[in-house]
Amino acid sequence: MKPDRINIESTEIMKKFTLTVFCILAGCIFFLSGIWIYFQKSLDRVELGEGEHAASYQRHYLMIANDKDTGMWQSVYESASKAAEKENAYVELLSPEQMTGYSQADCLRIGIASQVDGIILEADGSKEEQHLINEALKDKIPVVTVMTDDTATGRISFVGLNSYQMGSAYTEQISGLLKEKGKTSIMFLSTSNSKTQETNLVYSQVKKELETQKKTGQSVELTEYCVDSSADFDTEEFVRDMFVNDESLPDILVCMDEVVTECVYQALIDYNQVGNVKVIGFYYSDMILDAIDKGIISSAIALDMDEIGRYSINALDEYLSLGHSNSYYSVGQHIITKDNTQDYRTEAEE
Amino acid sequence: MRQEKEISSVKNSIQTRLSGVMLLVLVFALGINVFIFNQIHTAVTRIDAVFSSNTAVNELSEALEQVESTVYEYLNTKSTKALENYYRYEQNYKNLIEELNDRNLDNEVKMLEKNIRRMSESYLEQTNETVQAKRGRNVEKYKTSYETENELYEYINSYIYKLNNLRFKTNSANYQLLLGAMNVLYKLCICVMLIVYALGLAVTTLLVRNMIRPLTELSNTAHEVAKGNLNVPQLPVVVEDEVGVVTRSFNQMLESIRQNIDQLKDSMERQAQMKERELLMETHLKEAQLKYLQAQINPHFLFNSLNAGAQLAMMGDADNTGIFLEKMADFFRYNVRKMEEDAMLWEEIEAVDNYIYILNVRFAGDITYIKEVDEGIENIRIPSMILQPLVENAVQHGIHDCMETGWIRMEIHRNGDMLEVTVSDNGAGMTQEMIDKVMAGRVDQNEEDRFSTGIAVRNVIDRLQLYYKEENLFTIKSDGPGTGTRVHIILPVDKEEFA
Repeated sequence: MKPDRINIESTEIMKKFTLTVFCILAGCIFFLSGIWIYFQKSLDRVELGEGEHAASYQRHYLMIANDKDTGMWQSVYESASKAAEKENAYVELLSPEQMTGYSQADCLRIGIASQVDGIILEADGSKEEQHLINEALKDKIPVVTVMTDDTATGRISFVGLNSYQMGSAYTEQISGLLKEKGKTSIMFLSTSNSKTQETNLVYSQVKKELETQKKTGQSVELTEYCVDSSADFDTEEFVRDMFVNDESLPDILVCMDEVVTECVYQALIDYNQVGNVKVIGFYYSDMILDAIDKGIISSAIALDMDEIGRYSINALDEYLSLGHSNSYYSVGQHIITKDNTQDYRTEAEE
Repeated sequence: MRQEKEISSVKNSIQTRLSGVMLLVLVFALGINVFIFNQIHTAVTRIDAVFSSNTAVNELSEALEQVESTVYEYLNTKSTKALENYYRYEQNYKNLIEELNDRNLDNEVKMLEKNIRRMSESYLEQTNETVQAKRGRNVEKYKTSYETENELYEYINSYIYKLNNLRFKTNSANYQLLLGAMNVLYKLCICVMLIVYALGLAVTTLLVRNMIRPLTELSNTAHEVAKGNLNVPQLPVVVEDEVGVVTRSFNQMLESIRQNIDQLKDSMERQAQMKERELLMETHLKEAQLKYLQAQINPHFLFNSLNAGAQLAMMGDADNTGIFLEKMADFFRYNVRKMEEDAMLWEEIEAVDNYIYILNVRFAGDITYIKEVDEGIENIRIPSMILQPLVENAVQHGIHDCMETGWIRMEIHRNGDMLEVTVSDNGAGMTQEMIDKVMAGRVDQNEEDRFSTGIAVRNVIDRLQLYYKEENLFTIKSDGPGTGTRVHIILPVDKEEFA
């Protein structure tokens, strides 16, 4: 091999070698740049500003929910939030259960001390609450009651169904389940949370209507029980007790609360009472809808939670803007049976 | 100094290249390390910042507690110090809550801050009321106010706790995020480091191999050269480094050696040619000398012979005179003619015969001459004027004083590849000393000798040596004075001539 040729080949090899080295180095730099970008993005994901870029609103409303984790309250809150956003307001959801040892009254106090622009709550009819609602109004904080009203207070508005309509709806469902002949025992089951003046009125309304609507040979025995739900898990324990003690089981169980409905459903299955006890539920969680589909729960009554949320915000906004508002907003009711569960599932999914 | 300059003048010195590569690798590795450390530092700073929000919440909580405890202390003791402390802590707390969010933002933490701020404002109003009531000694009012304030304190505390929890949750998530990123970064960086170190190793290995390869080639070639094979190809100079310089020098050295060897060959050839010429010249010289020697025929012999011829003529023997003059003429013609290099053996024998005849005429047939010659060797070429001087020598120094009884015998025999010529006489004989002297050529030629043709024995010896380029062809033997002399010559003959 001639030296010249070797020289050319060696130069070629050196060139290739240098090129390869530079390519690899460039690759490394490229790789490092990738790492850097990845790392910067990771760091950017760490939000230190905590909502510096979050949307800002003019008003701040406080919604006090008895049990914020239930689907019912979630629906109310979601619709209220949506409506509030349009009105340039922020809705904060506060529940006594999330503040250990605090009552609804404490939540109301916190709302007043926090100087919110408006409060939405389900009235429990207690004196303390009535006093606090009035105090809030004194501090120019309007209060809207939802689902259950407390007319003894200065609340600016009530959003919900009136007891007459509610009673009629229940009556309609119950009369379909009455025994053809003989006595049908009916129990109204509510919790201390849901048990209000309103539920009393509903109960009375049902009782009155059933008396007039019952056929000859049919008799109705109405009882009412309120589960003390101030302590945790009591509702479930009570329902279990009731099923263990067969004698106290009614023919028809009317649940006035979402949690009670779910507890009853589970107990029916566990104690093999499906078919023996007919159940009318309240609201439409996935579990309740499943139960209706399976025929374990005959039907369920539900208020239009979406309307509750929306109307309560409307009421507050109207009051703050105009200085007054409607004192009563009537919301629609839903009767959920086997035939229309699909509609509610879709709604829930949406 | 000069060497140092030469080293520094190398374009791509090994040192520069090695240092370059090492520097490149180190700088790159350093760069990556700096990059990694920088990223880690950023991450750590960020982690620090992440948890600093929790620290701020804790500060807020402590300040609130200080306000509450000083209010209690004041209510309890009404001490001025407690009051002072209260105002100080109240101011401090105010400053702290000033930093909290006061807007309605779609963010749980921010809304908590806002609630804490607003509640704190209500709380501070309440504490002021309490303190004022205490100062005004309005016992009932301050007690009620303290209760409300205490309630608010609890609410704020629980909100602060909630905020702290929420922040801790967020911060923990952020921390997990950062930790994850750090983990990925750590793995990726290890990969990059490994790649870079592997690359560095590969580059260094390749570079060293590239540096060593020419050295190996150089060593192999040097080995070949050391074995004596100078016909090796020129080594390529791949890189202009030290090895390149050595290779170039080696190539030059090899080229120089080749050139030197060529020059040496040329010069040796020239020397050989010169030697040849010298030899030729020497030969020519010798030839000239020979010719010169051959030319040295004693004129006395000619005069004496002519005198003998004259006397013969005067005696009126015309036939013998004619024969004598003819023989003489033949003899001298031969002498003159044989100035050329060599002669046939028969010509030499004839010359001897003529000489003996001339002598016999001069000395009236006294010399007994016996001749023994093998047949078939007459045409062999020998140097001219060899036999006659020997016979002449035998006459002059051998039988000169006893011509009547003396005899001369010439024998020429073939012995293998050579002719053996022996000229012997029964005359005076020679001592060893004399023989040595004759052989050494130390005997003075008596030019006045009437019977000599002028060619001495030494001359014969020399010419034989020159002609045959051999020594010891000529020997003289004698048992001492009065015992006769025997001269023996060996004449090498070409085989072709025998054929």
